[in-house]
Amino acid sequence: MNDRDLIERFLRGEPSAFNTLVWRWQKTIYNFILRDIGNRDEAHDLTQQVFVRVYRNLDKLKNLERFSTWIYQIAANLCRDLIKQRRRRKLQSLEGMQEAGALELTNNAMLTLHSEDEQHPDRVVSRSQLRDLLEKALQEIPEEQRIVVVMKEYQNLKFTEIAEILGAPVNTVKSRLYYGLKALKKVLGRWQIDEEVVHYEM
Amino acid sequence: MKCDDTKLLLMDFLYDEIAHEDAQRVREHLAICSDCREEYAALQRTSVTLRAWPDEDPAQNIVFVENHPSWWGAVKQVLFPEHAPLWSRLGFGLGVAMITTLLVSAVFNLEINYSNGQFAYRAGLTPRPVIALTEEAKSQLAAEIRQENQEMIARLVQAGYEQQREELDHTLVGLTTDLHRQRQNDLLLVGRGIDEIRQNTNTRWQQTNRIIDQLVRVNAPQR
Repeated sequence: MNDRDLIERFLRGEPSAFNTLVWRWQKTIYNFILRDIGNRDEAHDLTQQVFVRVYRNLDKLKNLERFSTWIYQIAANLCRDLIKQRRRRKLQSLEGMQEAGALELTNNAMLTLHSEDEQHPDRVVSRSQLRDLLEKALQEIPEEQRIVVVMKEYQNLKFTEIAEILGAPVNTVKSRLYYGLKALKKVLGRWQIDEEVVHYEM
Repeated sequence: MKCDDTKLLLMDFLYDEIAHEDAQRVREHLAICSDCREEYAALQRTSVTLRAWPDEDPAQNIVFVENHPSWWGAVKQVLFPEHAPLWSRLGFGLGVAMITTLLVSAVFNLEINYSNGQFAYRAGLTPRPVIALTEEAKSQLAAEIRQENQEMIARLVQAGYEQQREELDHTLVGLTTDLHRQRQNDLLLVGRGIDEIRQNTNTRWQQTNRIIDQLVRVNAPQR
C-alpha cells in the first residue's frame, strides 16, 4: 500500500491509516530535521508539529502524488522558522554556553586525535563523537546551503525534487550544494576529520 | 570546457545525475586538469565523510490517538466536521444563522412593515399591545366585514352561475355531436337499404325477363 492509498483511506475516515503514514515517514522527517537544526529535543518537537500540520491540512492537498514534496516543505518551513526564532531570541548567555560547549567538544575530539596515538588517530574518535562533530560541522555552514546538503546527502533526493521543495531553480540548488560541501570540507579539515577516520569508523 | 563551467556539472557527476555525454566531457576535463581533479576528489571525500552519520531512530514514536471527546467536542464534530468540504460547512453555517435569526426575531417580537415605499422595523421584549376599538369603529369594521362577505358571496354565486352555464354549454355541444353522429349513421343505413332494394328489384327484373324469354321461345314453334 502506497502513501496515496493510505491518505485516501484516512480521508474516508480510517484514523489507523494515518498512523501507518506517520510510522512510514517519521524516521525520515525526524532525521531530516535533526540534521538541519542539530538538536534532538527540538527535532522531536518539530517532527510532531509536522505531522500535526499534515493531519490538519491533508484534505487540502489537491494532488496526492505531491505528498512527499509537501511534507518536506512543511518540515523545511518549520526548520526555517525555528532558526529564525533562535536568531531573534539572541539569548547571549545561552548562546555563549552552547558555543563554549561546542568548542569544548571540538577541542576534546581534537585533543584525543592528537594524543599519544598520533600515528593512529582514527582509533580514538568514537562513533558518537564523529556523529557529534558532523552535527556541529553542519551547523557551521549557512542554512540555505545546509538544507540542500542534508536533502542530497542524507535524504537522497534528486536535484529536481529539492528544487521543487525549496521553490528554487535547479542550478541554484546545485550551486548551494557545491558551496555547502566546500564549506564543510573547510570545517572538517580544521577539525582534522577526514576520510581515514571515517573509514575506520565505518 | 573551462574550469568555471564544471562547477555545476561536478555536482551532477558526483551524484550520478548526469547525461552520458556530459559525464564523458567531465571525465575528459578531469583527465587534463589537475585543479578540478583535486577539487572533485575533495568534494567526494566530504560527501563520504558526511555519510558516516547514519540515520537515527527517533526516541519517541508519534501515534495519533482517537480522542474521546467531551459532549461539546462531540457536538462540535457533528456541527463542524474537521474534514468536511468548504461548501457543506458554509451551507451548514448559513442554516444555523437563519434559524438563530428566526429564534431571535420570535423572542424579540421583531416586526417588519412595508408601507408607502418604506420599511419600518420594530422590536421589543413584549408583544405589541392590541389597540382597543370604539363602538363607532366596531360598527364600521362590522359593516366593512359584512360588505366584504356580501361581495364574496356575490362572487361565489357568479362563479357558480358561470360554472353551470359552462357545463350546460358543454352538455349541449355533446348532445349536438351525438345527434349529428346518429343522423349520419341513419343516413348510411338508409343508403344501404335503398341500394339493397335496388339490387333486389334489378335481380327480379332480370328473372322476369328470362321467364318471358323462355315463354316466348316455347310458344313460337307451335305457331
